[in-house]
Amino acid sequence: MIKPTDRKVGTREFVAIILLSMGIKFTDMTPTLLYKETANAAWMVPILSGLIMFVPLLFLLKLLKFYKDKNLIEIIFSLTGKYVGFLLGMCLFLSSYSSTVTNSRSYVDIISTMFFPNTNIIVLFLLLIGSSYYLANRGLNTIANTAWISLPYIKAFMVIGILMVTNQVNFNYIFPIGGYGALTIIKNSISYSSIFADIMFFSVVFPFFKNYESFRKASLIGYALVIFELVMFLTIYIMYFDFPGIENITYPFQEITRAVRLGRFITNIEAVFLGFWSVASIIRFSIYLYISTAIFAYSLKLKEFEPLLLPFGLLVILLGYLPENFIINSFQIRGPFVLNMTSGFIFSLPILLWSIHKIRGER
Amino acid sequence: MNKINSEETNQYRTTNNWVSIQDIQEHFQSHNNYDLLVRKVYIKSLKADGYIAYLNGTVDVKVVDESIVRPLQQENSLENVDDSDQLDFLAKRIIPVSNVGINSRLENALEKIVSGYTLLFVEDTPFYLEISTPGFESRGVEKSEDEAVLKGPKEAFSESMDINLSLVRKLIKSSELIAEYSKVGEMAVNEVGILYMTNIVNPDLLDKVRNRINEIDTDEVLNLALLEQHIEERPYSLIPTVLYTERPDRAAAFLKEGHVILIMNNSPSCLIVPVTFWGLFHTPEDAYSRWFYGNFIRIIRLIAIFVTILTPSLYIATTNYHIEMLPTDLVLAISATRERVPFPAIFEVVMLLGAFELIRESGVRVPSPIGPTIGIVGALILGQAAVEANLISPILVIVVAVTGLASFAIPNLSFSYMIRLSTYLFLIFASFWGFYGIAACIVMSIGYLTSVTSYDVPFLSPLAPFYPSSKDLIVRPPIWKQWLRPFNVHPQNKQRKKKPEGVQNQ
Repeated sequence: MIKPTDRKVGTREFVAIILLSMGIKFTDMTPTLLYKETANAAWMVPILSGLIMFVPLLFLLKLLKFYKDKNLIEIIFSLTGKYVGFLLGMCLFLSSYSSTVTNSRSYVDIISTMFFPNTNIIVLFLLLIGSSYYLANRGLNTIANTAWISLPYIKAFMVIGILMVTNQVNFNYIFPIGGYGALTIIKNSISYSSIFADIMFFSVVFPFFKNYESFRKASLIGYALVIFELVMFLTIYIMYFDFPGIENITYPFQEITRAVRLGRFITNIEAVFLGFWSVASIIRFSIYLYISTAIFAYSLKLKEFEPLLLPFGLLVILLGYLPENFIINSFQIRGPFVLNMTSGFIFSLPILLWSIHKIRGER
Repeated sequence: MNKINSEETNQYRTTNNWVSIQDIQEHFQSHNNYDLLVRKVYIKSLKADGYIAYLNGTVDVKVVDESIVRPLQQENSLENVDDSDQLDFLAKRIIPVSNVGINSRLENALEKIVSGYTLLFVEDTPFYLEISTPGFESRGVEKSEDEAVLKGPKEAFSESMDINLSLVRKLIKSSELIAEYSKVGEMAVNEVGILYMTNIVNPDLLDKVRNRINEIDTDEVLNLALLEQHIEERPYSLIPTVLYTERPDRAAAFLKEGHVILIMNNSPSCLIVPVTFWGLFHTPEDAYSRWFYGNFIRIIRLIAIFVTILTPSLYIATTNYHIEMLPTDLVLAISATRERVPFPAIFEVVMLLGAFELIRESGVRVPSPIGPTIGIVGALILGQAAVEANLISPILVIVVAVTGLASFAIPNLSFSYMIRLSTYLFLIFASFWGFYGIAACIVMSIGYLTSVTSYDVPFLSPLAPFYPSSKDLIVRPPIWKQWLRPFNVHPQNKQRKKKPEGVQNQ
């Protein structure tokens, strides 16, 4: 009855992973990118993007339900054959790994700019990826449980943060509500829909989850909560900074935490937020690293992928160190390149797979 | 009467590997070992000579005199006894001791004689009688000192296994409570008592415990503190995976949740497996106090744990990296006191923490008559002189004193070590990366804690991974709502009682 192999990731733990890995996107430079493109209406983008990405998510869930205990890569291989399957697997790997690299660099840049301006970023990088590797190396269960334990504290602190700045926000700043107009919003919602693409990647490790039912439930709950969270924070940002002021704020979340004050004497508690935020980001990058490595190993049909985690983690540091500064990293690489390129791919992949599955008949 | 003559018997003994009084004497080297007492006695009822043998100090001499020697010499046989069941006759009719056995093997004789048995050899008989007359010296049941409570039973386990077993049985008057005995070690004489509730405990867990004890590959295990290190899961880890407690009421509470209890002679305690973080975190008083008071104490304890782990590292992180967090006046005060201290803050902290550990350790080891000196030296040298000599800044004395004080509020000894040692781990991270380092260390610690298992039970379960339970974790619900046994130990019988009305938890 007591068997270590029985231990799988349950619904709660999976929701926690989703909330921590996708739900902290409002703390990095995603809002900055969105506000640049859509002005006051950036908070609508997550809603539309979320709806767009919901379509492939439904197809993916259907596929997973049909293929029971196969992971996404195995499904790709069995539907498209050896060569195309390998190609698709590698594309998936590239999109997940490149977002791991650019995102982690962007996080390190935030830490460096806001808190440790005199520290070489490679030292900060080492700690971020080192601790993520440590978690990832202990397995998905460890990541999931760590996420589940830290979730309440992190979210409680976020709520406290919001409550503390409510007296400084101005509701009228969200007008003009349409920003640059409906067309811009829709266009950007489509091109930035890969903000929510992460939800697809969890299906790569689908067999590690308890069962299909809990996977589906957690995906949907987590997805909805993440959209809600993103919309809420984007709205708070615009109500706090106003447009075009927000265009000049690189890290809105960190700037807002600077404004949080507890009475007259405790005025600068952004370092505490740094602590909670680092916890969340380490968990986030550990799951990224884990899944990227898993995609790579499954595509090459390797039996074990845990030994690959260390080299892949080191590679993240090396590649992340390449961009000269955060402007290049965020605005030239991550924004147009990684996010927009993967949007189309991630959107079409499940639909493509499902169509092949239908055409070839449900065998 | 065809009496077997003694030569024939001896022959018989040698060929069949049976034991005589000479073998025993030889084995114990009776020419220079005065512990083995052999006494010749005339057995009136058999009209034959016999020998009784026992080890001095292991038996109750009164019992030997009154219940063995006297009846043997005085009781008269009313009937003729057949040679073949002379010993049987003695056991059944003459010797008024409840635990008597007949045997013939040497190893068994040696084992019994060191365990407090008296052996009775009758001349010309191939067997011997083993009569249980244990009289080991032992303390009585005393008050629990290491795990004192204000409210609730105060009895503690004692060094005798029989006493300990009776203490547990007194708490659980149930026919389902099973006490197995298992020998431990290669030259095994010591026994481990494995206690469990047969209707609750998971059979797999029980097998695992039995196997773990059988696998111990050493000549002898003297007591539970040593056994703990043989059966624990991760010998090099900071995390204890076995709970060592001296309170019978805790043992009973864990038994009823489906855990397995180990008891042993020479150990004023018991071992509980598997154990989770919560087993180490809780004290019995939390459950005995009323709901509000018990939870209040638990929250205080949780704060104490965080204070112990984090205070020195928070001090280092804020003063070195995040100086803007402190109110300006405080920053000025700190920097004013640090002005004349020539060392970096981290050096001061490590120095003072080290001094504090010294005081703690010497406080335990010092003979009690010179105990007060420690307090004087500690308070004077560390509190006053070191500050005046500009070795450390006064605010640091407060930081380390608070850390030390908080560490005394942590209940279990192993748990307290675990927390105190992790203080240093956090200190390293904080001194390198400030709050960022502390956060990384917290994540890694949580990750490590969740991946540790004790007998396949995850250390932080039933919180993570989640299992249904009565939610008796950091805080507890009122006692009448705790109707479920924690599922993480996979008990056979999952409910303590029927689900009370108006309870929402699973």
